Formats: sequence, structure tokens, C-alpha cells
Amino acid sequence: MHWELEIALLVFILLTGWTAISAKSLLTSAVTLTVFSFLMALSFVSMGAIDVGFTEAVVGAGITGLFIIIAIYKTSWRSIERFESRFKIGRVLALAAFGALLIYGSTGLPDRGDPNAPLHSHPSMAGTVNAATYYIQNAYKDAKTPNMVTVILADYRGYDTLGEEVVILAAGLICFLLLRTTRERREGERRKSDRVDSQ
Amino acid sequence: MKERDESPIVLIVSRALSPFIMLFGAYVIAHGHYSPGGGFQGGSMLAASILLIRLAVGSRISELHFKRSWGTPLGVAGVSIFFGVGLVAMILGGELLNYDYFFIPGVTGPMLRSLSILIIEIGVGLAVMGILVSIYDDLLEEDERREDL
Repeated sequence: MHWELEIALLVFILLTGWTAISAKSLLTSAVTLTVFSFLMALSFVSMGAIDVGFTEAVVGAGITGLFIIIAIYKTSWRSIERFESRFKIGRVLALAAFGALLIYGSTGLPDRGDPNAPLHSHPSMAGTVNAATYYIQNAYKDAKTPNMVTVILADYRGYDTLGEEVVILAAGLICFLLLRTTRERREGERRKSDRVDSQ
Repeated sequence: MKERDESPIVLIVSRALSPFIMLFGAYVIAHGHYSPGGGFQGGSMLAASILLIRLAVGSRISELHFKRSWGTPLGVAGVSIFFGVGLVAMILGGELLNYDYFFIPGVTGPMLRSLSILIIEIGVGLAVMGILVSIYDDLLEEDERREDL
């Protein structure tokens, strides 16, 4: 298998994550985060989730990095908190305990691609037809579309995708409304100052 | 952005790359049935091609190819296309988003579902592209106004 590649990816992901946290300049952190996102996309692809990897590469490594850099331009370049002050023994212990809990929880998950996992059993434990099995067997018959992920996203789970779109639209409208208010106030101020000038 | 230098290299490279990114975004939307990708990814790439020009030459010149006021209406139009397909299917006797009841002349059965998915992906792509560009414009609006003064 390609486990050597995955270990190399994991090492680079840890390195870029650590660099993003510890860099003094926020711009360095932003650029390193885009590299982190791209390595995450590669690791998703190596797990076989090509659509998720594509989304992560486009959104995480492209658009998100751009928005973070704009936020830095509009605020401050440097992180104010001093790096040394974060090393408190209590916090390190709490983080280590939480990490150990997560690792302990992950041991209960089935192995990747395990055909005997309850997720892949047919019929499912409740005796009904498993959703994933139904999608795999019927996606092409129902919609004549070879890419199963598209059929699931747009057809079987159309409500979810519609909700996603509404969430994105709401985010855009909220940005529009918040920043539009400041612009109108500025224009009002300018009109007032114009009137003062003309008097 | 504050204190932007006009670099001819950045300008020419972004001008050369932007149409290809836009074409690839349209391809990703249209080819989502057969390969990884779809409306969301393709819309993000369309937005990226526009934002590349925005970053390289500034909002005032790049308004020549995508106006600042188009972003939010485009997002609303995309969501309306998506919701409209579902609503037409509901009015014609099915459930909301049940494409079997959607009406395209001369198309029935699985092909009807396939074409409806394509229409919906186009709506998703337009919505994502419009909203991402409009968020960028809203964030930088104040700076551009200051430039105009």
C-alpha cells in the first residue's frame, strides 16, 4: 500500500500546523494554513474521497486563504500574545488528556475500508436496506449519472444541498448588510461635512 | 488594498491565467456528472478567477468585467434556480425536489433526473460564485472608497 506516502503527508501536516500556530507574523500563519489545507486535500485524495479533496483544495487552499489575508490587511500584521506565555503546565496536561481521549475513542472505529464494518453490512443491523448500499446499487439506474457523489448530493440529499446554498446566501447577505450600514453612515457624515463647508 | 504596487509581471500573469481558471470552473460544473467536482467546486473556481483579477489590478478597473453590484443578485438568482426546480416539481404533482415530476420537453425517466441535476449544479455554481465575490467586495469596500476620495 501507499502507507509511506501517508506518513510523509502526516509529518508535513503536523509541521505546517505547528508553524501556523507558532509563527510571529500573521501573514506567515495564513500562508502556512493554505499549505496545510492543500496537504489535507492530498490526504483526503489518498483516502479515496476525491470530491472532498477537490473541495478542500479549492475552498480551503484558495478562497479561505484569500479571505484570511484580507482580514489581516484590515486589522493587524502581528500576533499580540507572546508565544512563551502559552506554555503553562496545566494547559499542556489538559491538551494531552484530551488528545489521549480522542485517540482512545478512535480505537473503537472500524478500520478504513473494512468490508465487515457495521456501516457496510447488508442488510443493516436494524434489518432494513442500508442507505449506502442502496445508493451504490441504484444511483446509475435512477439518474444515468456515473459519479455517484453528484447523485447523492443533488438528488438523494437535495434538501441538504438546498440548505447549504441558503446558508451561503445568508452569510453573503449578512456581510452585505453589516458593511452596507457603515457605508451609509459614512456617506451621511460626508453630506453633513459638505453642508458645513458650503455654509 | 493599501499601498499596492502596480507590477507588470503580476498583471500579465493574472490576466493570462484568469480565463483558463474560469474555463476550468465551467468545465467542473458541466462535467460534475462524470468526474469529481460539481457546482460548489466549479463556482469557487469561477469566483477565484474573478478575485485574481480583483487582486491584481484593483477593484475599480476589474469592475469592467464583473461589476461590484452583480455579486449579491447573482447569488440570489442561483438559489432561486435551485429552489425553483424543486418548486416546479412540487407544483406538477411530486414532492419538493423530486425531479421525476420536473418538466423538460421530450425528456423522461432517468435522463430527466440527470438534466435536473445539471440545472441545479449550475444554480449552485452561480450562487457560490456571486456570494464569494460579493463577500470580497464588501470586505474591501471601505478601502476602495478611500481610494476614490
